[in-house]
Amino acid sequence: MGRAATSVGYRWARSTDRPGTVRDLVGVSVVGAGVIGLVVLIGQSGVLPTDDLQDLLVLGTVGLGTAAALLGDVAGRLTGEVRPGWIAAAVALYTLVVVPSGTLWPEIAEQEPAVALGMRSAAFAVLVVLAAVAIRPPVDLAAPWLGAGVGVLLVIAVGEAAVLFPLPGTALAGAGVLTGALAVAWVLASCWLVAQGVLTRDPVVWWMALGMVLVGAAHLHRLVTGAEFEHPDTGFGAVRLVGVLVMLIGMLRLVRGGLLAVRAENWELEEELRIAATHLRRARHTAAERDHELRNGLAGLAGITRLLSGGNGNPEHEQLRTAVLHELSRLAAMVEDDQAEVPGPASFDVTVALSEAVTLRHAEGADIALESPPGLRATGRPEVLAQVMGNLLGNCARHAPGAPVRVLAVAAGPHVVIEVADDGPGIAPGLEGAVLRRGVHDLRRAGHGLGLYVSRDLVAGAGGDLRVLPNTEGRGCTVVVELPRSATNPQPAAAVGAVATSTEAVGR
Amino acid sequence: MTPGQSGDPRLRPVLVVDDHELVRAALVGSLREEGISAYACTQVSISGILAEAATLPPGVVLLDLDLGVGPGGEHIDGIDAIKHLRATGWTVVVLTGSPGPRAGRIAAAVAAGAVGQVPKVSSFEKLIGMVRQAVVGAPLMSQEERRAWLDRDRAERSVVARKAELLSRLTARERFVLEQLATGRRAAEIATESVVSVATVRSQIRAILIKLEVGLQLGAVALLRDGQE
Repeated sequence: MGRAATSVGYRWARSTDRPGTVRDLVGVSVVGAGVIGLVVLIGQSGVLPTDDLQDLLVLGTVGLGTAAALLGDVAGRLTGEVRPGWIAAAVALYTLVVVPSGTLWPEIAEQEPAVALGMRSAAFAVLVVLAAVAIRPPVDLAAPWLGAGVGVLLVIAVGEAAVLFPLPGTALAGAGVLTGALAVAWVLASCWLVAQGVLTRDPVVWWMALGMVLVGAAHLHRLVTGAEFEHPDTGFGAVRLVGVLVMLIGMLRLVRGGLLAVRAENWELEEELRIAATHLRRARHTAAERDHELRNGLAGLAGITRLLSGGNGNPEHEQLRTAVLHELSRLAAMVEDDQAEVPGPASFDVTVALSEAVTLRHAEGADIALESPPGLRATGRPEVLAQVMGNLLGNCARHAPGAPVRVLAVAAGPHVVIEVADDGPGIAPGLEGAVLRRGVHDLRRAGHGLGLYVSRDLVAGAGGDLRVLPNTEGRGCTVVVELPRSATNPQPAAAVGAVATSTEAVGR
Repeated sequence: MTPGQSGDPRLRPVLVVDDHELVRAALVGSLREEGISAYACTQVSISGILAEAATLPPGVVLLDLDLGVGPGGEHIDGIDAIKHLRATGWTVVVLTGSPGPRAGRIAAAVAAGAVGQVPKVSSFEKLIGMVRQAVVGAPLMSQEERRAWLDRDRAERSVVARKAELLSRLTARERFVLEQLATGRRAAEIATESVVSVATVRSQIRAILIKLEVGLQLGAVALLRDGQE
């Protein structure tokens, strides 16, 4: 059985199973013949009373049959095949209803032969139906057990009916013939399954069907010899036991095949996962290297900018230099993948941040008036406000080209309120809330509708709020940014702190 | 910020070691503007750095840890220079790029004798302030910070040692297979190249997983990768 494991792909390869099959067949034949011979020998030698031997055989049959039925159901669900479920249901019905009926309650067979015959015939009929369905099974995993349940109910109903309406002797003989016909049908259906299993090279099917053939043949032999309703003999019990054993082997092979398939599938998934992780790692590595280069480049540019125009006295150049430096530090903060270095809630000078943002736009020729009281501070990081102002002023330039823009910042209770207003066409009334959503924008203009959405996200992240005011005078668009206000004389922010430490160090 | 320190006897030279020329130039220029006698180290090999340092009186060295790739394709690790620089009287301050993933490297540098780390990205004012502190011999980190870095380094080392111990259990063949797996090869490809059956490779992989005490190939590959870095 072992070689299947090496060549199993997705399906448990069937053709490669043949040498193992021959070995198993020979093994089962030897074991089966041994069991039957041993049982007959014990029965004849009288070492064990016949009744005890019978009970032992029935117990063994019921035990193996139950195991086969459970395994069949599990295997069917495991492999997603429907046929094992139907065979399992037939095996369960047989071992749990038919086997005990003749053996554990022989009194019924003796006193009420009609009842016993009726129940037996009903059980056989359901078994034949289940076996026939198993030849071409419908795709439904619950249906076989429904069928078995119906079988049990039918058997009970027929028993009750036979008690209530006793049949005359002729009908009894007819029922006997019917039972015989059913047994023949059972054997034929099983043989058909064996042939199918051999033809499709599906050893599982023909193993299970072979077991069914053995069981059916044992019953048929007893019917033909007229011994069916007498106390069963030990030879019959032994053959039946071997039959159920063969079915169990079939189910075991199926479970093993299913497990191998699952393992093979796991193996492939794991390999795919590993390869995907390798690609991901490579991509991450490239990105990290690029970030490293960007970081170095930005740091170098910032340093050089700091040096280049230092102290030529032109205030406009000074402002531009500050703005460039600020932009560079903002870019550096974006590349930074870990903000752990920045301690707690820092604060920054709103007026300084706004004038830097406005200066950059001035250089592009925009007409922006800034009104902001000195010393106005907000908690958070200046990069956020720089990016938001960049977005808002960029919007103004796009939607109202050339129109004058007013930027007004005031302290209002616990907030710093910044108003950005232009004289452009504004936003259509009623759309003030909608433009804040991702992807909503004025179709007549360029842009992806992300500016205001991203800005609001950024401001919200800093503990603030961003609103678009209703367009009251019919002209212009006003956006209000609220940031949490910081105490007038704040704890030093990162850069200020460094300067303070440096003077301290110098003073020492 | 007034320079006004040129005559200070405590003013020691600052040697900037970074493989990025622009960063190096900007740092040296900025430091000089602040009245600090800064020099750019033009060499990035370990022996070159030590040779250039020997031409100056001992001072503060600002050391980038990742000095790029040497002529032989090997990564030049600034940490290797720290012990020698310290032995010749230099104070070593690590220049850091990104703080997050490199924390283990900073910890190793601190363990090797670096007195602190300055980020070269966030703010020049901060950087210059810290360099000034280092120049006058003021501590750049508290005892607690230093201890935390050393603890971190110890933890990293024990993890690395554990991984090395696990990897040492593998046979040469298993090690080869694991390295192939880590480059994203399939078991079937490895089998074809080594002229063995796929089943053999699979059983080798199974043995690798058991020896490395991991459940998935993913874990084994990660262990090899982390053990190498």
